[in-house]
Amino acid sequence: MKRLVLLLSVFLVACSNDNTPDVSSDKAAAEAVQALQQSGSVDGKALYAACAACHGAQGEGNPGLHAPSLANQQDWYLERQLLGFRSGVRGSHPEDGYGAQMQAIAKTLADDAAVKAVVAYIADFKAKPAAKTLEGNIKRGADYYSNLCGSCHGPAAEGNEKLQSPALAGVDDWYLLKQFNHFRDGIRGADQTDRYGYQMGMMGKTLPNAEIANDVIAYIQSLAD
Amino acid sequence: MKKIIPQGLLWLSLILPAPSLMAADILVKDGESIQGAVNKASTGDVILVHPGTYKESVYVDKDGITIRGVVIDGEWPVMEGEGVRNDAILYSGNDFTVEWLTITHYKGNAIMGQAGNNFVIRYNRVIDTGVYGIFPQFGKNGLIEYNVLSGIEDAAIYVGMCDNVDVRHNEVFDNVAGIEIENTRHALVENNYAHDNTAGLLVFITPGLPIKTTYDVVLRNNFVVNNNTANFGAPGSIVSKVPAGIGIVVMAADDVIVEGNIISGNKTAGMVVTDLAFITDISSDPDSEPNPDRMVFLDNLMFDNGADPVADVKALMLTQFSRSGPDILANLGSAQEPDNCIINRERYTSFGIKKWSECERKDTKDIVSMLIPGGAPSEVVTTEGRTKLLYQGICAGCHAYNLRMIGPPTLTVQALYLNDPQGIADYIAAPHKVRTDYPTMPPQGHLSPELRRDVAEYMLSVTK
Repeated sequence: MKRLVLLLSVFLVACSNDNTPDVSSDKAAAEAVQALQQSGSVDGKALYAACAACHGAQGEGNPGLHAPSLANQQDWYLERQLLGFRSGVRGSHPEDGYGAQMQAIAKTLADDAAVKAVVAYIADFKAKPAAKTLEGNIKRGADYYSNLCGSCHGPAAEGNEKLQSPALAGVDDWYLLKQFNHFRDGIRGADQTDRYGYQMGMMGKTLPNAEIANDVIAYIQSLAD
Repeated sequence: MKKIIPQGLLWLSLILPAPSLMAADILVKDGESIQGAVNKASTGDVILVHPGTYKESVYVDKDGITIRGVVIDGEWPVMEGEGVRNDAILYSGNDFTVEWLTITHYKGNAIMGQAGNNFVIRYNRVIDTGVYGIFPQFGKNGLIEYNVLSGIEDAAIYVGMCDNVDVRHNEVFDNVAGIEIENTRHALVENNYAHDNTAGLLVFITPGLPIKTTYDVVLRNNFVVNNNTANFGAPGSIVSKVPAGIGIVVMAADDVIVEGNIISGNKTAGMVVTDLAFITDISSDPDSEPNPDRMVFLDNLMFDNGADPVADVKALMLTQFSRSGPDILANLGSAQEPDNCIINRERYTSFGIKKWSECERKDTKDIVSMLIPGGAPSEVVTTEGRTKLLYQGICAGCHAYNLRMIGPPTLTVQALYLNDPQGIADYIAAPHKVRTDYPTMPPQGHLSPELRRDVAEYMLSVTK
């Protein structure tokens, strides 16, 4: 049964290559917005209840709803992203349907204190590397990673706060690939006012092709094991 | 420098080159500063450094300076980096000579040239000095001889982006790379003893640097023996990917002649000829041709190579039913093409040289030196040219465009500092450690704020 769920979720991810959220994802997002609008709480745990429907009770994510795990992401990075969604530097591109969902949800948080509270709650989740869903040439991925990516994201893809480069190891591989493609295609990080996003937008154009991007992400996934 | 010069000397000055007229000896004794002497010196002066311990980094940015150690009863002048200083000697002036120094415990380089021409580096002992031992970068016409270097975690002698260099009579051991000729044209590597390194002699192209080619290199009469030291290069750096146990590596370089060397006891292979894929898949520099072309392999003495090859080489050799590595390995691909040649091929164990042709050239008697008779001419440096020279002479020593050399690739720096050259200019004056797995960048505060800003703008504009 477990395997069937996994297969099904991989199937779902594979089928919805476009960035338009499906019905179930839209429904969950709308419910999150509604929940936050009604709650008005500033308690992290209470706020997170709205997130849990997609991202899971322990921040483990849900590939079926295109929701990445949060437990494997750093608190300072999550905070910056939530603020980015709220200001509109992230999730505004017309082709970023899931980003738009997240933007609507983030904007219903009352204020920056609410952002901090929910991030602090997530920070207490136990990190558990997301399951592998991609195959790739790990050796070749390692070569490109160490030459191009590692100087900011770190030798073990553990991230580097000084450079505001997030940890990648442990984050869902399908999500990393989607975001990488967004950076490459200008769907994310195309706005120069989004300083760090724009940096990644520039780097997103430095891998020679999609196959190598896939290899790099397969390598990053292997670092989490 | 206003001096009253006797009439007779004035006449003499018409005959002799001007520097020698003014030349003076400047003595430096234990407790004094070599940099202090350099600051006082002018063209033609010789700085005589007496035995003692000198804890400093010395910058030489004027032409025609000689730093000469004075060795008395076996007592040498010692430049001591104490594990905290980056470089012992940095020179950017032309006609620079440094000799008779012991240099130890620096983090970066013992002697680094930054675009100085007509250099002479000889009779130095370099022990455990970090990344590079002797590293002339972007210089024309240089002689490197009678130096002994050990314990360097990249290349002991690294000739980078130079033209017309002779490297002879040096001993290099216990380093990752013994002698490296990289992105350099017209080099003679002769009579050196390279032993117990990870790899002994390397001739190659690193892609992503301002100079895109390596050609016309002669490796002659060297001892290249027992280079089996486990690679201790910084993890992730390009040199850390060199497999242990190789006598000579020729990667992507063209017109390399190998003659008269004694190559033995190297456990992976005596010599490897390969394209860029040997080290990294990232060979995407459109201006660097990745194939080794027109290699000329003349008579060499090779034995006992390949006793315990690394896995990749073992796998290749198994295809011809051998478990040992060969004397000569031409890697899969263009290295096996008949534009490369060899004589007396039956003497060697080999892989991949079946298609190599028979050489027309039988010896290299016609090649005496690669130095330029009369030296490299002086060049007029424009402001624009100076900025480019700074980038090529300093930055490109560690930063390649799209791959990791010592520092992060230039294109990641471009992403981090987009529209912010001042950010780079400020950072390089007093760098701090940002990355756990990279060395801290050496400060460039000796460059003026304007030059730092200019070179930062240049770095942001580099496209390959």
